[in-house]
Amino acid sequence: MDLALKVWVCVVISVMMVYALRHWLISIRRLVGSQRPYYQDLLDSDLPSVSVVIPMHNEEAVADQILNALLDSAYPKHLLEIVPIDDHSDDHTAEILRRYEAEHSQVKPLFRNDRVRGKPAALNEALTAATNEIVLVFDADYRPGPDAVRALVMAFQDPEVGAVMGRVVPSNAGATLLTRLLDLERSGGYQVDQQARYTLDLVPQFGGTAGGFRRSVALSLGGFGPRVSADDTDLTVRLYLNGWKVAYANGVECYEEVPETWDARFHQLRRWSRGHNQVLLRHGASLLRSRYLRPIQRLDGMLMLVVYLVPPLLLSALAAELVLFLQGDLLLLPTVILAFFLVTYSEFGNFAPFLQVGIAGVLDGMAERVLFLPFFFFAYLFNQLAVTCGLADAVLDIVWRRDPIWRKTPRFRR
Amino acid sequence: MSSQVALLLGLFVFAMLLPFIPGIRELRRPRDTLSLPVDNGYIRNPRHFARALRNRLAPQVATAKGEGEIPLRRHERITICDLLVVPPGATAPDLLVVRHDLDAAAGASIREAWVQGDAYMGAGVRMRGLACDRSLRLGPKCTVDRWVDSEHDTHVEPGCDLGMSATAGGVLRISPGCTFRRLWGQPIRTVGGRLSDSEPEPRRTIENDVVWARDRLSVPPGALVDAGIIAYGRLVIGPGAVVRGTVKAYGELVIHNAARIEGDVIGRSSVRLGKGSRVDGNVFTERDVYVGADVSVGREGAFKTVFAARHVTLGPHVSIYGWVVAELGGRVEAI
Repeated sequence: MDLALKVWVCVVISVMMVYALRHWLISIRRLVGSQRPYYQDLLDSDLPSVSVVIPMHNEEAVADQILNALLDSAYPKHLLEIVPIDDHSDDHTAEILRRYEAEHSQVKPLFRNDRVRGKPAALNEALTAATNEIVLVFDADYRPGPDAVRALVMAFQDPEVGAVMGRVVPSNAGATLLTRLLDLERSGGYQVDQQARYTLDLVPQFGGTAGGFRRSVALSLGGFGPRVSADDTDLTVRLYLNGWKVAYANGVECYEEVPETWDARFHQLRRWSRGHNQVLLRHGASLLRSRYLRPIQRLDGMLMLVVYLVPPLLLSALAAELVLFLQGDLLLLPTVILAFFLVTYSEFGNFAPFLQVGIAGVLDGMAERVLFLPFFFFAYLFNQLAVTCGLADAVLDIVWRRDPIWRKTPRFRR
Repeated sequence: MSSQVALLLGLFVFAMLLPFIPGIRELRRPRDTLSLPVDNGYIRNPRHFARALRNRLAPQVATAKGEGEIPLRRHERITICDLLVVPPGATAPDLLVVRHDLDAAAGASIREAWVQGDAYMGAGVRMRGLACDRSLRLGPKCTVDRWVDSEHDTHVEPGCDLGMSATAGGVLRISPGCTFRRLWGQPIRTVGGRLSDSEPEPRRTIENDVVWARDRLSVPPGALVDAGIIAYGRLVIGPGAVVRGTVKAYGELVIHNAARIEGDVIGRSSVRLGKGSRVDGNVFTERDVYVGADVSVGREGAFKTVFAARHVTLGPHVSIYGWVVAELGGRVEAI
């Protein structure tokens, strides 16, 4: 038993080391050397037709803004189709969409009231309703700029690109301490992590919004799994497993609203963890065997999927350490090593680690907000709990063969 | 508890709290609460600089009558005149609006100017920014610190440094020995060179949706490939071959003489377009692009882009309809 616990602790330490090394390498690569260019500098008079899909559930507070932003897009009007999806709203979202449908021929809303609710199901329906090969997705609280559609679409000039992802920037960064931390986290995650993964030709992730994909490819891969809480991660992995690439557009920035309350953040993280772990269970083995990916890409893909498994792993290792300590069986040396790697992990661990956030702060020209970096320690503890609950959900989904219920992150726009 | 232990404990707590103090101060007296800036009005426009200058000056000029000076903020002033001749070696005032033609003699220096007629820059003229509503001619060895733009044609004589951006609503003709970063023209033409030889007829046909190659791939001379091509190594398109799709290569991508690509050309490494070859789509590479003599990119009435994350070299008699971007600089080959 003691030996098993010690082996387990060593395994967890090894995982921490791999993540710490990854974060170091990615952060340094983002800071040093030229970055891989994105396709936004391609100006082309022969643009493809594009469908922009916007899933909406009780979005009366923000529906006007996203629709106006897209109608003001510089993309040629005759090539742009806007498909807002009213997904079981019980506020005035449907009325707003009907008004826009009457006033603008480009707006072709879908109304879903009698089928399964949730973003994956809504996207599947939009996939069949959309008429164009390129499909972009924006959440209802996003505000794409006038050039965003063109810049995202240009990625599909590359015949290997199956999906593209832009950068999201919190619009309510200064609202609460939580939003200030999430603002830093997003900067680290996009400005450093996603960009470095794109530069290093690893596996940048399609985030399900402020991005897009090829409709025929998504349909050929079976669309969005309604039983998966992280439909974006699921599609990302299936794209890579079938030889497609995901492009990352760091310069295509789009405002989004981040949770302002810890409760909303807890449920968001829990849903992400549940979805990620579902995808890990479904595709982890296939990813490791993929013939389309180089070994380093497989490793990066696995690190992307395992990331929401790490906090429970760490908690289990701490519990094992505690047992060993109480039994008086914990040698000094392993304790020191463990302490070292726990500190390392705390500093460079998951969720937009310190180093990445700091470098993003330099690149984005942040001033005072980087002073909140030490507060990530508390956010990290909070994340541990939410992510562990998400893992438990994913396991119970399998045990009880239950379907996840879509729980939308609340809006805070006033 | 002894005083020593209490002191150590206090020091420990202080050391633990120390990193949080700046954040707590920022939380109590916020100084950096705005969202990161996103330019939600930005639309990529190769002629942005000239448009911005015209938009900035137009309201001032509209109300001004005759010649004179208009003070602006930060000690700037606009000098408005009908015709202007800048003598050799002279420096023109801060901001110029010339209602008709501008003629700058050799060695003159101009800061920023909006010329509503034609503009002629003599040899060795230096300018920071110049927007011209008609035609523009840059004499030999002119230096552009930032940008030049003309609504009609622009002719650039040998040895000019075109700065960050040289754009024209009409033809942008560039002579050998010029250097640049960004070009826009309908089309961009390099001066000199000979016309290409007649294209050999396609002989063999390869059909598929996409031709994939694990390693390097060579398309035989004169072949017709009715598909796109993706090669994970070096890709060579033989002389006179025709590819009816997009070609992408992870290694060097060489398109030989008189070959034709009907889609885009995407290179993860360098791209070389041989003499007389033709690309109907865009050219995008993460390294360098060499555009050989008589090469044509894009077509009349449309625009495409030649983008290189590093350098672009243009041979003689090249025609590019649209935009050229050389992130680390480009040049027109000296004959």
